[in-house]
Amino acid sequence: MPADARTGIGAAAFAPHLADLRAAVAWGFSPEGESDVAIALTVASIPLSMQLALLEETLARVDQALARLERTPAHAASAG
Amino acid sequence: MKLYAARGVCLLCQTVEPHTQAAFQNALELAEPVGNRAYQLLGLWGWWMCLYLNGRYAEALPLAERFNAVAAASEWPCDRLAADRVMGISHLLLGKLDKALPYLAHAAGPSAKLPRAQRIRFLYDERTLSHVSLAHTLWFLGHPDQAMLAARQARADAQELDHPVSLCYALSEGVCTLALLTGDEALCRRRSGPWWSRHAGTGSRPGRREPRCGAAFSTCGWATKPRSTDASTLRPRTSARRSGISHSRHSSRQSPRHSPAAAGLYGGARLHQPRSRVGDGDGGHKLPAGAPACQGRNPPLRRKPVRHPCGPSRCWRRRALRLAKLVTSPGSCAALPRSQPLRSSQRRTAQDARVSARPDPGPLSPKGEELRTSEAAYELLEVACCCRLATRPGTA
Repeated sequence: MPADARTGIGAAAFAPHLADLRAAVAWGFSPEGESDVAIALTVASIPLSMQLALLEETLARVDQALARLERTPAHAASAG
Repeated sequence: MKLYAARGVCLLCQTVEPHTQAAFQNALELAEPVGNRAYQLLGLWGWWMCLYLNGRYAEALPLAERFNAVAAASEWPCDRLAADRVMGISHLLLGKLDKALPYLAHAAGPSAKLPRAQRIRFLYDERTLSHVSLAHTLWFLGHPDQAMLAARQARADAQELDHPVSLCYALSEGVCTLALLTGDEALCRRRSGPWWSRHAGTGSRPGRREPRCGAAFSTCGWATKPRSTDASTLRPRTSARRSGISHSRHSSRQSPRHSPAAAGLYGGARLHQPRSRVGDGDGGHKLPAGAPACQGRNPPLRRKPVRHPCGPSRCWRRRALRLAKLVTSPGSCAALPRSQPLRSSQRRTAQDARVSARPDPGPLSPKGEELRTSEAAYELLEVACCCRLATRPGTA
């Protein structure tokens, strides 16, 4: 997934995987999941979510990721 | 860094409050030590947007210069064009038109041919934004024809890119604004009707308003206080609910767009002295002393009425109603208290519902004709509705 919107990969190519993405992030942030994976997925999905204008959904995921990072100071410096 | 930047962008689309600015500042703080120019620019842009939307223009210019310095070292041409636009708008908002014009002309110039991915660098199409601000600058400089051309070019840019958000911006900030500033007096009166009747048509100062400026600035969201002699008293006219933007965005007493330019122009004595009587057939309305008047070099209002097959208001209301039905959730009408008497607006809606049952008269006018304000407004409404639908979570 593009890390920068200027690379120009269209959202249509990834849009079919939105449901998988949501499920994976939900699992990652769940007690059974791995928050590192969820945070990485959240960061990687930002350009796609922005292109699809899923702003509220993105904001919720980003806030969740930032909250997890605040609890793990080792990761806080990178914040994505 | 990326998370904070994303948080800032998401918040920026909803509200412009301190935590929105803080998100961009956090992204900037993380990007600077690692030398990530892309996120430095994003952080600076978001911070600048917060200042700009909250009317803190004096603080916005230094930040624009900082943005310009970082963008100068960027490998992406779009960053340098964005820097030109940001610089141009910052000068425009301070009323420094001569400084704004070269920046905006360069940002909107033919050299700015970029691939789509680079053109939409900061939420909107850069060329569209540049042309819109260029149109405003040209109008304030007294070149209404060139201003309208620039506004139309903004719309063409957005259409070429097929980017609804940019198209909405081009219509609302460019085409509609310029159409009102240069065009249809009847629509100006209609659009500014409530404001007009509240402040001018009734009360102790009948007719002490200039309909053209009042409508234009009211539609842009701003107008002047009665009898004001101080340009700093320009105040918002559009409610947060109506504009769909949070209150914090309107917390400033000054406009996010037009009032500073008007204030700068007025303060710099660029505007002509208020005319004692404007136009003919407008009731001889007088300007209040100190109101930011339209420049005398701009042409008089076009008085040619908009012709529709079945009358303008009926067509307009019918199509607006259709759009309203499109975006209104199914249960919302049932929630209206039926036992209460209908207000005038509700009576009009009921009348429109009857009108809408009649056959559709077809398009309002052939395509390619000169833009008419009502059509532009209709188009704006349609695009805004599309944007609203498109940005609902889960609809993609």
